[in-house]
Order: sequence, then C-alpha cells, then structure tokens
Amino acid sequence: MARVRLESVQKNFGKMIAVRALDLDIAEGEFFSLLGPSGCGKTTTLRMIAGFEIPEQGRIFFDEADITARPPSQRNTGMVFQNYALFPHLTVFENVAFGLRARKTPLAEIKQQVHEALQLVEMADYVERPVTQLSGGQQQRVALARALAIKPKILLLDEPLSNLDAQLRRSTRAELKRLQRQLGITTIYVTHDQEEALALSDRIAVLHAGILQQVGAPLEIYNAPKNFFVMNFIGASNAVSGKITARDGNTLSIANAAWQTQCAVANARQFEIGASVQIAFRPEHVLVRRARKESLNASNRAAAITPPLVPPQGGKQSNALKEYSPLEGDVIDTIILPGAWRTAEFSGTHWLMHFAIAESACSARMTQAQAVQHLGEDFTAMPPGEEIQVVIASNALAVFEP
Amino acid sequence: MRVVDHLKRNWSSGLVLAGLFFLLAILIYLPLFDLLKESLRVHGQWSFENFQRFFDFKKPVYLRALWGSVAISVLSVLGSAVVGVPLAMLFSRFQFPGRKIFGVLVTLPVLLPPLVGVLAFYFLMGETGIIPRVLQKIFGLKSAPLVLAGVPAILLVHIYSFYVFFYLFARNALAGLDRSLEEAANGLGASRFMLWRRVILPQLQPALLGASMLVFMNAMASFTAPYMFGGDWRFLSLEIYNAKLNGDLALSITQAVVLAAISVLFLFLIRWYGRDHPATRGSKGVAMPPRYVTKPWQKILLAVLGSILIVVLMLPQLTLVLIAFVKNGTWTWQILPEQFTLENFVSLFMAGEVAEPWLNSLWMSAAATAAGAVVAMSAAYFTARPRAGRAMSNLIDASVMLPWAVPGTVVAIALIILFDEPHWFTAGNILIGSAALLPLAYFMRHLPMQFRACVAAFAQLDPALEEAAQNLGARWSMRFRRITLPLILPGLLTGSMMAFVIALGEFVSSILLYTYSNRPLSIAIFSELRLFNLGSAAAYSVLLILLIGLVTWLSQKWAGKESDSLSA
Repeated sequence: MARVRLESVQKNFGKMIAVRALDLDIAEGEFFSLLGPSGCGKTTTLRMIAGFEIPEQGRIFFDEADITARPPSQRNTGMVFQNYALFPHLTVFENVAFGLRARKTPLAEIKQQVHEALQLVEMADYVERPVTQLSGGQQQRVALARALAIKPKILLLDEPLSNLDAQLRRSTRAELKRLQRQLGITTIYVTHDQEEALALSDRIAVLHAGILQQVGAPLEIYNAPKNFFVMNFIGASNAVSGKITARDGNTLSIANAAWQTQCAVANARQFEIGASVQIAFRPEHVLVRRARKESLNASNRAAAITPPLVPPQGGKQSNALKEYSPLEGDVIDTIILPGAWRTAEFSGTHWLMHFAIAESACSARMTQAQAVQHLGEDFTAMPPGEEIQVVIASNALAVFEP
Repeated sequence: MRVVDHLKRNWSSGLVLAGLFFLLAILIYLPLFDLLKESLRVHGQWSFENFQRFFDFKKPVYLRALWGSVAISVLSVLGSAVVGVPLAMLFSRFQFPGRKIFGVLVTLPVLLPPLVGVLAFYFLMGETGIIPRVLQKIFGLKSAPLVLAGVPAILLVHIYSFYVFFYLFARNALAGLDRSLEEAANGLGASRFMLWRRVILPQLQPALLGASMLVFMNAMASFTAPYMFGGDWRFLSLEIYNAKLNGDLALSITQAVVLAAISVLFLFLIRWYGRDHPATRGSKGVAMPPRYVTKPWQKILLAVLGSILIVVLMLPQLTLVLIAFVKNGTWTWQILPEQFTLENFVSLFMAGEVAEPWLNSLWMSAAATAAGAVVAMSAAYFTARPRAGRAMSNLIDASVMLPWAVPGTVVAIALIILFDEPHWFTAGNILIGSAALLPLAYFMRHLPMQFRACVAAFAQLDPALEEAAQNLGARWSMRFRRITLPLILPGLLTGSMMAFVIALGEFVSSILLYTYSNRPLSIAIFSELRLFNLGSAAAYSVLLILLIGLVTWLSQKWAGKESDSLSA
C-alpha cells in the first residue's frame, strides 16, 4: 500500500493544457476520487499515475520513490479500464493470470493466486470460461480480479461502473467499497458521477478544465463548496447575479435592478464594493410562496411565513446535520427575493418549482404539503409570470465571484 | 519529439522501426527513384530529351498510347458501373430465392487471374472460339459472327473483372444507408424516382467515385488483355513492354515514369478524397431490409435471371475445364473438341518439366507472402496508432501504399534497372537473370494488400488491451506475443492468403522478369498457348483456379471461425 503524491503536475496535448499545475496528496489506504465533467483532466491524471502519459512538468511519487518516468509495466499498479479491456482471446483464468505470468510466478502459485482473486469477486466458478461469454457485470468483476491478482500497491479505477445498468451499478458500488476496506488498498477512482463519488470516497478532488477546484471529504465538498462550479456540479444549484453595494463585517449588501438584500457569509472579506457576484443556493434550501397573501386561504396564511427546512452551513461542524423543523417553530434567518412563476414539475418524491429571479432561471424543491401550504391547492394552475416570493435560508446560501 | 521519446522508452521497437525504413528505402524508394533518374538521363547527361520525345505533339506516336490507355480506362469505368451498380441494388434491395449464393458468386471474377480470364474468353469467343463456331454452323454463315478481338474484347474482359469493384462498393454503401432517411423522404411524399435521385444516389456518390478511381487505375495498368487481344489501339502499359523488347530501354523507362506518375496521382486523389469523405455513416440507424419478392412470376423471373447470370459468369471457367481435357493438337477445325484425355492433368503431377512451373509459383508466392506478412505487420504496428508520431506513421503508410499504385510493368522495369548492376545490399550480385527477382516483384506488388489487412486488424484492436497488459507488468515482447499478435493474426492471414493467391497467377511483371529456371504458372500457360498446346494451357489454368479456390476457401473458413469466437 502506498501514498501517492503529485507535485505541480502538468500535461499538455498539443496546445491544449489537459492538466494544469496539479498538487495532490493521497494517503495510504485512502479511497480517493477524481471527479469532474468529461474533458476536465481526471482520466489524464489517472493515466499519468498509471504511466501511460508522461507529464510535461512536475513529479509523481509513490511513497518516497519518484516514478514520474517509470514505464507502466514497472509501477505495480492495478488498473480497471472503463471498458474492462479483458483480453478477448483468453479465458477468465488466463486473463487473471496474465500479470502473474509477466512476473514469472511459478505455475502452482499462479493457480493459487488466481483462485484467491476470483473468490474475492465471487467469480471462482467461471475460471475456464472465455471472457467473451460473460455478462457486463461479470466482466467487470474479472477485470477487478485481474487488477488485484498482482497484489498492486495502488488500485486505479477508470469509471468502472459506467457500463453497468443502474441497479447493478448500485450493488457493485457497495461491493467495491467493502472490498477496498477489506484489502485496505490505496484506491484512485475516476468518475463523472457525483453520486458515486459522494457514496464511495474518503476524499474527493473536483476538477474542471484541467484545474483542481477543491479537495475534501464528501460532506465538506457538498456543504461548503469553494466556488460555484463545485456547488453546481455536486448537486443542483441556483445562481442569481448582483453587485455588492455595502459591506459591514461579514454582512454583504447585494442588489441588482429588481431587488436588494443583505446576507452574512464567511468569505465576505474577499469582495470589494461594486464587485459583481453570484448568490448561489440549492433547490432544497428554498421555498416559493405567493406574493399576494389573499390568494391563500386563511388557515394557511400564518404558516406561510415559516422558512424552509434547512441545515445550517458549515461542513466542519460535525453536528451540522441536526434537522430543523419549521413546524416546531425554530426560526431561521431568511432572505426574500421577488420572483416570477414559471411551472411546477413532479419528480416522484418532490415537486420541482421553476421560476425566475430577474433574468435568472431558478428552481426550488418542495413537498406536496409545502406546495399546498405556500402556493395553494391550485398551484399547478398558476399562470406563468405571476409574482412570487422566494424565501432562501441565509445560512445555506453562498456568494461567489461570477 | 515523439520519435525520440518512443525510441528512448522502447529500444526493441525502435530497432524494428529502423529495419522497416531500411527495407522500404531499398525495396520501394530506390527502384522508383532509379527509374525516375534514368528517365532524365541521355548518354550520361541530365536531359528532358526522353520526355520531349514522348510528348511530341507533332509526331504523337507515343502520345497515342497514352490516349489509348485513358480512353479504354474511361470506357471500362462506365461499363463496369453499368453492370455493377444495378447488380448491387438488386442484391441489397430484393429478397428472392438463391439471393445469398448468387450474391457470393457474382464476386468470383475478381479472383480470376487476368491471364486465365483472357484465355477463357479467347477459347469461348475468340476467332476460333466455341460460340462463334456454333453460331456459324447453326445459321450457315460464311464467316464466324460475334468474334471478339481488339478493343471490344479488351473492354469485355475489363468489365468482366472490374465490375466487382462497383458491385462491392455500392452494396456496402447501400447497406450503410440509414433507412429512416428513406422513410422520412417517403413521409414527405417523395416519389420513388425522386427518392433515388435526391436521397439515395447522392449518398452513394463517395462509394461510386471510389470505385471509379479504382477501376480507372486498374484499367490503366492492365497489361494482359491488350497484350492478348491486340487491336489497332496502342496502350501505355503494353508499349512499355514492347519498347523493352525492341531494346529501346530509354523509351520504356520514360513511358513507365509517365504511367507511374498518373497512377500515383490517382493514389493521392483517392487518399485525399477518402480523408474528406470517411466511409462511416453520417447518422445512426439500420439499413433498409431487402424487400421480399412475393409474386410467383417475379420469383421465377429473378431465379431464371440469376441462373442465366451465373451461367454467363461461370462460362469462361467451364470452357477452361472442358479444354483442359482436350488432347493437345486435336482441336483444329471442329466446332467442339472431340478427343478427350486425362494426360494433361497427369503430366502436371508426373513429368518434372511440366510440374516445375506450378511448383515454382508455389514457392515464389509463399516466400514473397511470408516476407510481406512480416513487413506489413511491422509497418501496420507503427501506423495503426501514432506510436512514433503522426508524421512518421503517415510517411510509413504512404511508402507502403506506393507500390499499390504503380503498375506491374513499371515495377518490373524499375527492378530491371536497379538490379542490372551489383549493389552492396545484394552482396555484389547482379540479380537480373537470377531466381530472386520474381519473388521480389511479387513481394513489392502485394505488400500493400497485406498491409491494408493488418491496418484494419490493428484498427479493431482496442488500445486499452495493450495498456492493460502493460499495467499488469508485461514488457514489449510479451505484450506483442501474447496480446497483439494473436488478435491481429486473422486479419494478417486473410490479407496474406489474398496476396498469395494473386501472386500465384501474376503475369504482368513475370513476363518481364522470369528466367527459364523459375518460370511461373502464368508463363507456362502463355508458352503452351504459343505452341498451340491448348489442352496443356487450359490444364495449367484449371490447376491455378483450383489452387486459388482452395486457398480462398481455407482463409474464409479460418478467419470466419476466428471472428465468430471473438464477437460471441
């Protein structure tokens, strides 16, 4: 098992910079994910660690050894490829044995280790099958067994679940996590699926356009994103733009032509007065309600002022997920912006309410009960353009540079 | 520099790369370069005199050969298209009894060596051919009707062997058409005529253009048909040979350069066109399934037409089989031969003198094909993926494909010029008059075919497989032996069998380069014909067809099985 370190690594393809000045420090035994949209440099980073690409600048270390230019065949990493790359002309046994044969292991030992590796992934019964006769999920297991059979110091996984159907993906995910914990192997996992990364990882590195955006534990990445890209990529997010009109300590006054508001954020000091900013908030941290109260019936009117269900901000506080129920009367600071109604869209567990704040399209996630309470029984028939109030929990919003 | 990087990381593959370039330089560039150099020299001085003589517009004796070649090529393209394209439409759009077997049989002429094809047509429809004699007898005519000679005969032979290009290209293109486009056009109310003119034909255009260029090149290079049927037109490919025979080597060389230049120009046109019009589909979707012909009279009509087609296609071969059993010297004025014997075949296997040519052909083709397989695979290894940089792989690709464009007569003349003096790489030997020259020519001419097959096989090989092997700790030699080689072997074998088969019947460069000791099958057929031993000539031809059929069958069986197990 090894620690993996990247020191200001850069990789160019022609004029395109695929990875720019990347520093990473991956601890021994850690499950570490490289997350980002396609073309963000995550696969290139993995291929540099595997040795298929040589960085133009920077160095890569396994423990204390500089392996930047070492050939892939001598790095002792086990890699699972996106399409598995099983050798189609060989049986399951020969596929798993391939790395051991390359190491000139005696045959008796090869048999032993292939058996062990296949047992680990519950494929021991298929040992003499041609790999072309296996299903996608089975091929994925064999590919994993093949990578593990050489007892690698580091396990590299390049979107290994992306070719499986949704149900198989979830069960394989759980199994992968169990296996990684059992073996304690340093694992680097490339994915574009934020749900996968959040579920599996000890830590996640979010990449965008070859640049590292943020490294952190899943909770931290989700709750305290460093910029709008991270916030929007990990879960959904809304953004409305405005200008800073005043600053008082941590409290910013932000306004544009249609509205003005005040909010307290931790990073307030980085903004100058007059700077353009974006206020970002997640759909689950916002409620919409009718601007004209008389259109709601009387029993609902009192409740209409209660703010949405929101956890306080800050990934570092471990008790951050204590639930606040509006019905129990915990009052949370809110800011209220004017909006214009568009449509309601049913997603199964929730309603997704679409509306606009000035020119920015936004959405809010509300339960059926909340919708009826704040918008009335007939909310699906509300005409587009009707004035609404957008209630945002102030401790769940973030202010970023645009 | 990608090249330097690659060599630093991988000295063993660097060694292969160096060896490859050495071979390409000696076997491809040196002969062609020598040919060009000689065409520009008169009495040891640099001069354009040779070309001035050729391009003399006041006395256009030689230019006429150029026009002859171009004219016959254009006519061959048109004729082949007229036969090949409707056949392709018929087979891809209609389902009728026997469609599958007929569809395979119509591609057969491409396997028939030009000399054998010409011979068959000669027996069938030449001055003393069976059909004219029968017609003469039936209608009591003074002279035999429908005698094929000169330009019509050449054209018929060309169309017979070249329509297959149009058939295959058009059929592939039709199979690649997205049926939803057609359905969309139907939905918009297009008539069937409009559908073909505005939707289908424009999509076939790249395929038809590709086939046209191929046929044009092949017709320009065609030697056997003009040589055997003569006529009053002159042809460049033939004039090269005649000038060499008359001892006017300078003229021969000059004509070879002109012919080579035109062919290479076409090679670049095809490559350039292929780059802008990749053969991949523009949209996803499934091709229109063939329509079932349901009315009984239509079924019968198509079956009868198909049968007639097959008879017409097979008639030349059947004629050869018939003549092969005729006792030499007994078929003179009779309408049909009357005395049959097995002795022509028996002597092929018993008499040393008679058996020699086909044994020669076997070993020379085998040697050329084996060498070609090694070179083609190494070249494809470096071009299939830009392992040593994009520029390098383009250079290798263009070099290996060059001999494909150069006509056989030109290759032969180039080899004659290069090897009529000793070189260090021939260990001081003059190769002219030795048995080595012919296998060398075969190697050079058929390398591109093996190369293409290897490139296709490499293209289907997922790069991740090699990376996976690398990741598992396998060094270059193990990766190549255990992963790359086994996976491209079917492709390599198919290409090599094809090259072997074509080398077996090779006539064009054989006639310029053979010596008595290594005379191949084609030369034996030719000399038996000269001696009017029609039975022996036909027996050689039948043996050749059988050998070709056997090898093709074997390779298809083998490659087919292999690809089944991979795709399962």
